[in-house]
Amino acid sequence: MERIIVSCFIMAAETWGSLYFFDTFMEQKKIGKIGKYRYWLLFLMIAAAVFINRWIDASIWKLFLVVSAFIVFCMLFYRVRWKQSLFFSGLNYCLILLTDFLLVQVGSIWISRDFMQDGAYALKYLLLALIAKMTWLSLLFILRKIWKGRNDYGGLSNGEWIRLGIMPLFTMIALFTLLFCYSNEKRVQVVYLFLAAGLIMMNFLVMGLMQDILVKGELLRENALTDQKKESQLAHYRDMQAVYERQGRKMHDYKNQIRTMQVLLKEGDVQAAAELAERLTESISMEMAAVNTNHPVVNAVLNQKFHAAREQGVSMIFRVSDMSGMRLDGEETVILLSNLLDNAIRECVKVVRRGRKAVINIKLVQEGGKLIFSVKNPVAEKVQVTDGIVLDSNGGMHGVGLMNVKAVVDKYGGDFAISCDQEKFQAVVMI
Amino acid sequence: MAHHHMRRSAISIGRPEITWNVGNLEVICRHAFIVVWCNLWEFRAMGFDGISQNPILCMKEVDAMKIAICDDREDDRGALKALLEAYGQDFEIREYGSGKSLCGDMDYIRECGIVFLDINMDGMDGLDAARQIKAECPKVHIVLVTAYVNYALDGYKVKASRFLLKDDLEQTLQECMDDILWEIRQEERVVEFGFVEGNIRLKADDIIYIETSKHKNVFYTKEQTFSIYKKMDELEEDLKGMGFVRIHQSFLINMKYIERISSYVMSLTTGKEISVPKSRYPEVKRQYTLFKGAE
Repeated sequence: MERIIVSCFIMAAETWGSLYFFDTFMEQKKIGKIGKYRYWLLFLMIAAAVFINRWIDASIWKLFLVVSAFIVFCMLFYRVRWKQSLFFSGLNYCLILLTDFLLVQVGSIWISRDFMQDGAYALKYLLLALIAKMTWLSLLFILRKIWKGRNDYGGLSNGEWIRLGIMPLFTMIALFTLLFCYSNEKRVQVVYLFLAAGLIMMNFLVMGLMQDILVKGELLRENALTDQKKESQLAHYRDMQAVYERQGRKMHDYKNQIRTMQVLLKEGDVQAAAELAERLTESISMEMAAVNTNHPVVNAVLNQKFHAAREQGVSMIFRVSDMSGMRLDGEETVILLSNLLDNAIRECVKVVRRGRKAVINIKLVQEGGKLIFSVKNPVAEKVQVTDGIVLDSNGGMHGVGLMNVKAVVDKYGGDFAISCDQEKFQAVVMI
Repeated sequence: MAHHHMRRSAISIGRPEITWNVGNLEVICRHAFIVVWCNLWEFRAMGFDGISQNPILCMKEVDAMKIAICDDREDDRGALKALLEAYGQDFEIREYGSGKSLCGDMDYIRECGIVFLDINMDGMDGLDAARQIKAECPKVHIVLVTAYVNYALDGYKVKASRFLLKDDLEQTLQECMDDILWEIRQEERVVEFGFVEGNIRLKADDIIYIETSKHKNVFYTKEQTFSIYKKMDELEEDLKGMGFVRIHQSFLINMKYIERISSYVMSLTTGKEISVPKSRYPEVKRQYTLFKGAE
C-alpha cells in the first residue's frame, strides 16, 4: 500500500514536471476543453505504462512504454512533428532517469550502502524520491531560464535532428548499461555519480547548441528578408527611373508634335492641327499619373504598378482616399503595396495568357482610424491557403514577399488575411 | 423518448421539423411536456403555415434597374451605354449632358441604382453633382469616370463607389458592374424566419446580432428583438455569405455592426461588448479583415 501511494506521488510530480518541460519547448495546440484535462490524461498514460511494465516485469520495456506515452501525448497536444516529439520525449525521460540515478548514487554513497533494504523503506525512499524530483524540477527551471522561447524548429534539418538526438540516446544506453553493471563498491558508485552528473551537463550543452542553431537560423532568415526588402526598394527605384525616362522620351515627342501643329496652323490647315491635338491629348492622358492619393510614395507605387499592369494587358479599378496621414514609413509602404500588387499582376498575367480578362480591384482607404488595403484579382487556378499562408504546389510556404507584408502588419499590430476560391484571390491588410 | 413523442406530435400538426439546441437536450427531456406545449402554442401563432426550408426569401431584382450616365461628350456617353447594354441585363438607361441636367431630374435619380458621372465637365462638374446626389439619395451607387484619378480625394468625400478610367472601360466595366450589383443584392437581402412572434421578414442588414438565450435564439435588430426555436448552427448556415460571423457558441454577429476587435473583446456600433474566446479569435479577426476589404 505504501508503495502504491509513493508511486502515485512520484508519478504526479513527474507528470507536472513533464508538462512544464514540454510547454517550454513546444507550442500547444488549441483543442478546446480537452486541453484543460491534459494533466490527468498524461498522468493516466504514465500510470498505464508503469502498470503494464510491472505486469511484464522488464525495466527496458518501461523506457519504451513511457517514451511512447510521451510521444503520443506530444502529438496530441502540441504543434510538433514526430521527430521533435521523439527528441523531446527522449530528452525528458533521460533527465528524469539521470536525476533519479544521481540521487540513488548519493543515497548509496553517503547514507547507507544498503539503504534500499533497510526496514524503514517507504520513508527513506519517499525522501530520496522527493529530493530526486526536486532536483529534476530545478533543472527544468534552469533549462527554461536558458531557453529563450525559440520554438520554431522548421529551420533544423533531419541530419541536425539526428545529431542532436544522439546525446539523449547515448545517455539512455549509458544509464541502462550502468544499471546492468551496477556494483556496490563505493569507488565504482562515485564514478557512476560523476558520470550521471556529467551526462546531465552534456544534455544541457546539447540544448544550448540547439538554441544557438535556431538563433543563427533565424538571423539568416532575417538577413534574407532584409535583402529582399532592399531588392524590392531597388526594383522600385529602377521602375521609377524607367517611368521618368519614358516620360522624358514622350516629352521630346510632344515637343516635335507641337512644332508640327504650329506649322499646320501657320499653313491654315486647322482640321489637321485639331486632329493632331486630339491624338496628343489622348496620348498625354494615358501617360499621366493615373492615381493621386496625396501621398508621394503611394502615388509612385500605384502609378508604376498601374502602367506595368497595363503593358501586360491587366486593368485596375481603384477605390482610394486621402493617404496623407498614413503612419507607415516609405519603405514599409513600398513593401506593402509592391508585394501584394506584384503578386496580383503576376497572377493576372497568367489569366490573360489563358484568354480571359484580368482586372485587379484595389481598395486603399483610411476609415475609422484604420488603414485598409485590399487587393482582389482573378486566378488561373485556386491556390491553397492554410492558416493565412499561401502554400506552393509542394505544400511549402510561398514567397518571401508575403512574409515581408506580414512582418510590416505585425509591427503595427494589424491584421492580414488572405482567401482564395476557384476564381478570385483576395489579400487584405488592416492596420 | 420525449424527443420522438414530440416529433410525432409535430408531424401530426404539419410542421416539417422541430429543432432545439443539442446542449439543452437533457433539460428538454425532463421538461418535455412544457416544451411540447410551447411548440404547440408556436404552431398556433404561426397558423400552421410551416416554414420554408430555405429562409432567404428574395433579393432585389436588379434586371430592371435604372442607371444614369452623365458626360458632356456624346461619344463617351454612347460608348458607356453600349457597354452597359452588352452587360447582359435589362437596364433602363438615361443620358445627361451636364451635371445640372442630371441634378434637375432628381425623381429619376432617386430610383436609380447606379449613376455614372464624368468628373470633368463644363459648368457643374461631376464631383459637385455627386455631392448633391449623395445628399439627397445616399443609397445610390456613384461611379466616377475619369481620364485620370486625380480627384480621388474629393471623390472619396462624396463616397463614390468606384473610379474608372475612361480609356479602360471596356476591360473594367464588367468587373465594376459585377461588384456593384453584388453589393446592391447584399444590401437588399430579405430573410424570413418562423419566429415565436410569427413569420417575419427581415432585411439581413438590419440584424445586428443573434444570441442564444435560455432555449431559444434571439435576433436583435435596431428596433426590436425576435425569438426563434432553431439551432444556432442552422441559423449560421442559413445566413452564410451574408456577412455574419460566429464568434461564440451563443453569438452570431453581423460584421457590418462591428466597431472594433481588440484583446479578445468585440465592440459593436451599438456599444455592446462581447468576449471572443481565444480559440475562435484568429478566425474571427480573419473573417472581419476579409469583410472590411470587400466592403
